[in-house]
Amino acid sequence: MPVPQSLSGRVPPRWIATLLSLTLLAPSAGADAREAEAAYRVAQRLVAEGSIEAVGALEHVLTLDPTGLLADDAHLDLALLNRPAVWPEELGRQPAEPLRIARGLLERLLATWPGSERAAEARYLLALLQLEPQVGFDATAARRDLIAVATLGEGSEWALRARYALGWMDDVAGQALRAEEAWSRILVDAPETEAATRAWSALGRQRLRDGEPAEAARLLQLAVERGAGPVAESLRELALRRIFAAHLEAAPSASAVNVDLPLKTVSSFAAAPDGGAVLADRREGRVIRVDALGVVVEQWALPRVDGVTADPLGRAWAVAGDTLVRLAPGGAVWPHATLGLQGVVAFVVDAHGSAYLLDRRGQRLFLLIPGSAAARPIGAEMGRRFRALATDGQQIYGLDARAREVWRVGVSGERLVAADVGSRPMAIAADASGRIAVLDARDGAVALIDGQGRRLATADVATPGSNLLGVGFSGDGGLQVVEAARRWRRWP
Amino acid sequence: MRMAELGPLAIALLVLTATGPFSTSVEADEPEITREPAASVESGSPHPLDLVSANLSALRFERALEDLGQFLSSTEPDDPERLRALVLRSQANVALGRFDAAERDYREILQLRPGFRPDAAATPRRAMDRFEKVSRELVGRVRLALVPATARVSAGGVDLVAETDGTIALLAGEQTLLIAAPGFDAARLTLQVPAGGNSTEKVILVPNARSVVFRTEPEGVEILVDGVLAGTTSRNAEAPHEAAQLVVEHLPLGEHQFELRRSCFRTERRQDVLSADLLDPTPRVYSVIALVPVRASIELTGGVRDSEVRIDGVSRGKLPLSPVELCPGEHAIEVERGGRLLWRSIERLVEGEDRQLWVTVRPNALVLGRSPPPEDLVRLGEHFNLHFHPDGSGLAAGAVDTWEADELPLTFDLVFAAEAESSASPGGAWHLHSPVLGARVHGVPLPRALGAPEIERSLWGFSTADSRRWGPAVVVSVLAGGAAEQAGLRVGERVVSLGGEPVRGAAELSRRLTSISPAGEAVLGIDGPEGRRSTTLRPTSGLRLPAPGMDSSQQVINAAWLRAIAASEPGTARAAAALAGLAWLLGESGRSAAAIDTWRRVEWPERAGLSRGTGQYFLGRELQRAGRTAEAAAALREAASSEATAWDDTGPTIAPAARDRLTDLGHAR
Repeated sequence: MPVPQSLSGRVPPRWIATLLSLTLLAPSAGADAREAEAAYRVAQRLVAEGSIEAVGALEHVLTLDPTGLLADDAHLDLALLNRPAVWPEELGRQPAEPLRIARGLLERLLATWPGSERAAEARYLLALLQLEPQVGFDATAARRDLIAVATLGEGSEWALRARYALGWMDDVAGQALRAEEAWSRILVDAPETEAATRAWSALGRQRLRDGEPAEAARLLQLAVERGAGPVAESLRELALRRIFAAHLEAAPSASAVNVDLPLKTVSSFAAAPDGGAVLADRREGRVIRVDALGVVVEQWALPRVDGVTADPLGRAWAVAGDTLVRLAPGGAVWPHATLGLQGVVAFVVDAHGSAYLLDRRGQRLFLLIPGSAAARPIGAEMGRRFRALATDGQQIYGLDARAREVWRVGVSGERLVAADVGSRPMAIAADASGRIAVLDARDGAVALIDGQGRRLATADVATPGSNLLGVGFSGDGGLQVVEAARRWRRWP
Repeated sequence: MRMAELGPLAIALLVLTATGPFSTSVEADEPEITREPAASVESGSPHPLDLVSANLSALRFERALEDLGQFLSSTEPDDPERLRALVLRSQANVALGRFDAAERDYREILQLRPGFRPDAAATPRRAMDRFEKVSRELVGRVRLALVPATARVSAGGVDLVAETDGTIALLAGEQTLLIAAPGFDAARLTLQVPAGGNSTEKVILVPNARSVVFRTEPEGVEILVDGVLAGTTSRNAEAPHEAAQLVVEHLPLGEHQFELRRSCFRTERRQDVLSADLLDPTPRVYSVIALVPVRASIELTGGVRDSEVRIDGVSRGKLPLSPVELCPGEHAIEVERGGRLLWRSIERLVEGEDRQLWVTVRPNALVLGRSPPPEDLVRLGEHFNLHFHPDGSGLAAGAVDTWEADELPLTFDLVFAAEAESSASPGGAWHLHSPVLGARVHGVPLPRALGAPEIERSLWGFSTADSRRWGPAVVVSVLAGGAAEQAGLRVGERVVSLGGEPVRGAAELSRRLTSISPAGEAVLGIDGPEGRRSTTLRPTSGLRLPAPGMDSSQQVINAAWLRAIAASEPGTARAAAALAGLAWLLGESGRSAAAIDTWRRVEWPERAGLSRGTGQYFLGRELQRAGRTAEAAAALREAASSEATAWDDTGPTIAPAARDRLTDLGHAR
């Protein structure tokens, strides 16, 4: 079996050796299909058991019968052992290397056995791999593959997943109507599937963003009843919060979680959707992640960390110098891209992994698409200086601290959202329902405004001697603030 | 002319006459009569005594005697045959003038039958004298005066019949007679019979039973004596104005229970102790028993208005059926509409009962196969109008594989075939065939869910969600004008109980509310800003389609129900939902053409939720599957401009899904 040229540079040495051995053995190895079938059964069992021997067992299947009936299955199973995302929400959770291996295997499967029974599954997984926020990111190719899977074999599991993923892509790209159509179709055509459960949740998120919290709560409740996870539960909580409009006045200080962080100072802060937060100490070159109770669950060593953020999927990112990195589980730091600019003032990352960055003067917005060599500026220099950025998952907001204004920024230009937002606005945050929180360091208060600039409420969040630094929203709409003196506070 | 002077031919003729039943058709001039051994009788040859008779008729007296001698000596004839042989021999001896021998024959004959007497007209005087002499020596006569006169007299197991003068001939000496009559104790009479004399004896039997006469109004009343049907009273055609009667004869003395019954009349029960009256042996005649007419009534509601109601095969009106008087007992109630049987039930009514029945449309199911388990049949009967295939008992295990749909009447909504218990299917198995879907399910236990799929649902007009902060089942929306708003429910309140039972969450509340029919109500416990209160909600009625995800057995059963409902209630929203559900099942079964046709036949009334747009979407989907893209696009465009929902009235909206399909078809928005 010849090793495809496109793969030779991507597979690990052991796999290369295997492929080479297959190449040498190919004329005789194909003869024993029955032995390969027996070996595949063994491998299947090992895969199900999570055994470390599974990889070797699958490779053995290919050794026995490299082009046999089970070769495509073995390829796909090997790819899955590298844990590629199987839903869009799982993107960006694996390091580059295993995903690169998985991608090579899937590409080979599709090239060699285009008519395989598992081709739809392979193409779907490959599409998601193309959406991984890393080198090789190709949204156009991913979309093409997803359409191919969705429109062939209607009703199959992979067609449903592909349609769901298309909706997800549309939603991230701001094509809300098209996303709604794809998700609604899943609900109509296959209401009892996992794709439908995710669609209920996604539509609930849309309704929340559209200012329909009651409908959002209903949809998210349906999603939770069908097994949707904690993200849906948080969004449901946020919807209820919007219905009650009782976000802060019903949250006395006594009920807040107060945690003294194990950092000397806090230089950067981002609230995470799960109620926790990511916090950086630039001086120590250290980043920590706390859960909703303030317990440190992850930490990373990152010299010269300038800022941190958490994207809508809960992934943590950091900028250090001119590098954007992913703060991965287990303390790993995955270099994501070189920005090509220094002294980033603020940045946010969307669900695709695209980063929006403010240059050192806060006057120019840059976009870094996953896999691209460097960030590129969006439009011309803006007529104001922004101090902070926030995103609700759809829109990006900038805080002009000097002018005490909040603006919507992005590829289509800037638009004023609200003026006179406090006496000394320091930071902003946005939640999935479109609420914007503006932290006023002087008044020790947080002003809540909606997407049209209407003030919803003001909350006193200061404690004696506090030096407020940042503000954020938990996924359920709960407010968080952090003080430079390393105190983190979260309201339910 | 004296008999002794008769020629041999005349004697032979007399013999023939005298032996009557013993004679044969052998002709007189036959030259030779073959003698056959006695054994030849068994092979179908003439009886030896018939040959004797024939020889006598042919005047071959010597041969006849020879044969008779052989017959009497070599065989052991029973008494009747021996008697017959002796009579023939006496005749032969008389014909040959051997009177001594004839006298010996007479002695033997009288020993066997004391009442024997030769035909005086055919017997010569001299022979008769000899007979009379012997008779006087051996036989006496007894005149019996019997009560009852009909009593039967026997001796030694042989019935004795009185002669025309009322006497019975008996051998002289001590004789024992048995005298018996129905309804009387039998009696034995031992007496000394004087030779040649006459005596008289009187015997009165003691009764041990009594006949009774029942008289009833009306006629046709069944009489049961001690639980056993004795007969039915009837009127005497010659006395039509008299009460109908039934004579029950010879009932044993003692206590008896009588039951008099007739449909539509109250059953009467009597008890009597029968005794004997030696002075009056006549039947006991009861006074006329007049049965009282009785009634029950039946009332039918539900079902489809104006459907025809037949009771015991007779049309009795239309639904809803006001109370109809019926006789107590078993009645077959059938409701039909447009030639379709909607509902059937066998009802057993008791006297005075006013039964109210709720009619529901049910599928017609054909049952065939071997030995269906009785408990399964009971379950089937609770849900379906069952019809039993006349040839069903011959269905062999596995034969269902060869069923042809057109062999079965298409009027059935479903066919159940029972397979006998076997090693392959211990406990038996069922095969289900859906003529509607053209689908079969083989070798399964009887499905647990046999009832109708729910195509109606209650609409409560509010929704709830659970919250970590505000607690479970928080009201998040209240529909304007809906049941919840009318009951005063407000957003932000929390539902804490339903029907007095605590509510633990929104999902549970939804599930429990869904199980309440649109005709029901819900008492909610509410926790709100003003504290706790309760309120009663009365839902409005909505529609739903059978949920996807059912197994093949359930699909087959649901298809039967949906077809029945759709066919029975045309023009209604329920029928539209049922037909839509059926169309969806057809599509899921791969019957695309039938699905398209059925979707096109759905006539949705003007309504929100499930409505025409729903149908157009699924029609478009089927057309798209069938490659008829232009037609699909037309249907989907209509769906895309509708406000219809899928699955139920509060389900996901159809329009965006339709737009997505249109995009697949290359139609830009």
